[in-house]
Amino acid sequence: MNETEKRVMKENERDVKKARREGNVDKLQELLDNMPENIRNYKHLKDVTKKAISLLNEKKAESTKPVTLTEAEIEQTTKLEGSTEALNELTAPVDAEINTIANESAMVIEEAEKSINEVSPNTETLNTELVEKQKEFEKVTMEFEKNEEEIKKMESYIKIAEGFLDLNLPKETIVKLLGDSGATQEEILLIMGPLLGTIDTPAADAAPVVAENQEVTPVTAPESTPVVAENTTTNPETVPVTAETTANNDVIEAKNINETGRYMLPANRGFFEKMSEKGRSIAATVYKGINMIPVVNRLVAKIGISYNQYFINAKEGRSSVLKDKMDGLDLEMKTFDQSKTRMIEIMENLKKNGNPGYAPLALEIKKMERQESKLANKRDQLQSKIELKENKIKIYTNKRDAIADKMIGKYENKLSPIEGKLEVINNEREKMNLYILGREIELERDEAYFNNLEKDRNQLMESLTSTGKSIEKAGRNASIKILNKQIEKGREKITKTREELAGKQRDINEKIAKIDAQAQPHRDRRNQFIRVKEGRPIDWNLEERNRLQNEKTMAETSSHTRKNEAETVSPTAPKSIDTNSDSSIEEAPSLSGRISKLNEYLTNNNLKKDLQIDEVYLLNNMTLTKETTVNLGMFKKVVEQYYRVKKIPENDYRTLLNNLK
Amino acid sequence: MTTNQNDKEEDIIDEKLNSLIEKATKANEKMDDSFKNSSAELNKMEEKIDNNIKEVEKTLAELDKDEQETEDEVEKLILKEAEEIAKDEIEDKEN
Repeated sequence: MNETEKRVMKENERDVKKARREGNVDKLQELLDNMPENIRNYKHLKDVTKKAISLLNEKKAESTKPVTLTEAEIEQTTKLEGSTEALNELTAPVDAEINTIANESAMVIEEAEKSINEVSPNTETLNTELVEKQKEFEKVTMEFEKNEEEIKKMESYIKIAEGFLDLNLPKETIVKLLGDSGATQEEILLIMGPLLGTIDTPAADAAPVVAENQEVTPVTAPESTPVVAENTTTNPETVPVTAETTANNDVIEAKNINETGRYMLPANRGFFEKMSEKGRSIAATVYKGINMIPVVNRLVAKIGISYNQYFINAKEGRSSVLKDKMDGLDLEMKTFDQSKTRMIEIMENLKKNGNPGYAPLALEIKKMERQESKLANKRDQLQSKIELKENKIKIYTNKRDAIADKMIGKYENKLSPIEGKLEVINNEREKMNLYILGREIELERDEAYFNNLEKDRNQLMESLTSTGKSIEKAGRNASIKILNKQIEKGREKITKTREELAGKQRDINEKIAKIDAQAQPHRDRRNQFIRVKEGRPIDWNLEERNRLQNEKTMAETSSHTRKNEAETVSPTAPKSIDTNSDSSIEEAPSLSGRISKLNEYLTNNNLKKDLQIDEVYLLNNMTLTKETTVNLGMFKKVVEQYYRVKKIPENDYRTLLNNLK
Repeated sequence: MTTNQNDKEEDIIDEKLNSLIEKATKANEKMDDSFKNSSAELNKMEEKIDNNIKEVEKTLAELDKDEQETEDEVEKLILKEAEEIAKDEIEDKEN
């Protein structure tokens, strides 16, 4: 409270006292009503006033006499007054503090408002800038995405180009192929430039050609001619055939036309030669590029030709010409009909009016009707032709699809047993390898045996020399000689057996690789067939073809029967596993003992059950006995080969194998 | 060492050598048997593989034939279609 307020309050207190003494309720009420609302120190004064009003009203109600308060009552309220003063004193410092805080707050608010006013225009500018930046960011993001797409596109072109380069295709052919795949001249230059140096990009209207590294004879392509290719299948947009473009087919040189026959099956060459010149020209056009495709791939290429939109477009092109003619006839007939109706109207009017001039008109109408009938016949003929062509398209596509489906069906029926047999062959090979390992263990054992014999012989030789014989003389001992021969014979047998085993293994691997390689193109062709039929470009996945060229990859062919890595419980990296059942013995521990140790370890560590070794199966397949001893290196080989026979994924056992000791 | 003692020693050594010769001979015989058995077993395995390979070859030959028939069929279709389009073109020009 400031000084003025305090003074006003004092006056109020005085007035309340006076009115109270006078018993003036109205005055008290007036004072109460006028007391300020928000000043806390007035609370007490208000309470005093209210109390006084209340007491006066009570008294007034009791008697009609003028009402005044008794001394006691006055004293009671006076106490209250004292309390008010005391309270005022107590609250004064608080009030002062409140005032200070309020003033400070007001200043802070004022400052803040000032700052806001200053910042406000900046905020607007910032907002505008932010929106612009956001727009810019979106633009950059879009460009980035676009670039990413471009990069992906370029990568796919590079992949295609690399595939063709691997095939040693001529650069002109690769360039054409890239163009065919949709690459622009600029893109082709970018891709091929660094690879091949300066190259000529194809003319925009040049027909794309699929080719391999054979007899590249450049053919001048007519504009928008169809494509003979494995990787250029149906694409209506790329081969718009109209009467005009088919007329351009005539441009194909006679030499090229005749050459086309060379790339047909001998059975069909006769038919080709008997075809009309125009027909052969069309055939040459659609066969363009076939000379560059290896014989083994021509089947797919020819299926590609049959799926070429050229044939459909050619027929549809003809149909559209006929349709145009039919529309023209419709218009002519309509005009005729209108004229005839008008003439009939005129004739009727003339007749009605008794005018004799209507007779020539009747004749004219008859003529028109005849003409109209002729036009209708012509129209019907055209319609029949169009319908016939439409049916022919349907018949052609049905025949074409039936051929492709039949071949795909044959692939499905025959490739599946082939895959099955190859799988069996692979299994047999793995079993054979296990068996050969058994023989190797035996050979190692025999080798050790002969080494021991040799050691004993040497000791006996020493004993002989100790009897006074010279080393030479001891060497000439008949028994020593016989023994030496036996040891030598044994060693020779070991070497020979090892060679025989390796030779057998090599022969069988070669046979398997050969049959796999024979089957591979058929597998690829099946997929190519399906792609051609689905109208998708053929993926020249050369890696796939090479996948069975060596033994390692060949083994992988059987991997499709293995479970996915994710499905298997890979053993946690085990600590070293001691498979030596009796470490105190010096000689190699038994195979059986090592297997037991390994199985025990797998059980104790809750590792995959498939990894447990079936000892009986293993010993039977290796034709070994329980007592056969085996060193660690050989044991690892045995375990690995066992898992291969059992088709356990390598990831499941590799760590385990590495930790065997 | 006396001659008698030497002779005795040599006899013992000879005996031991003969025992070694016997062991070596037996080991060689065992190896011969083992080699014979393993050769027979491997031949059996190879035969199994060969039979499967023959079956695959047979199916591949059938597939080759199928492919050739399909090529013939599709080529005929293409040529007939080319001839038909040629006829249509001529016919349309005449009309």
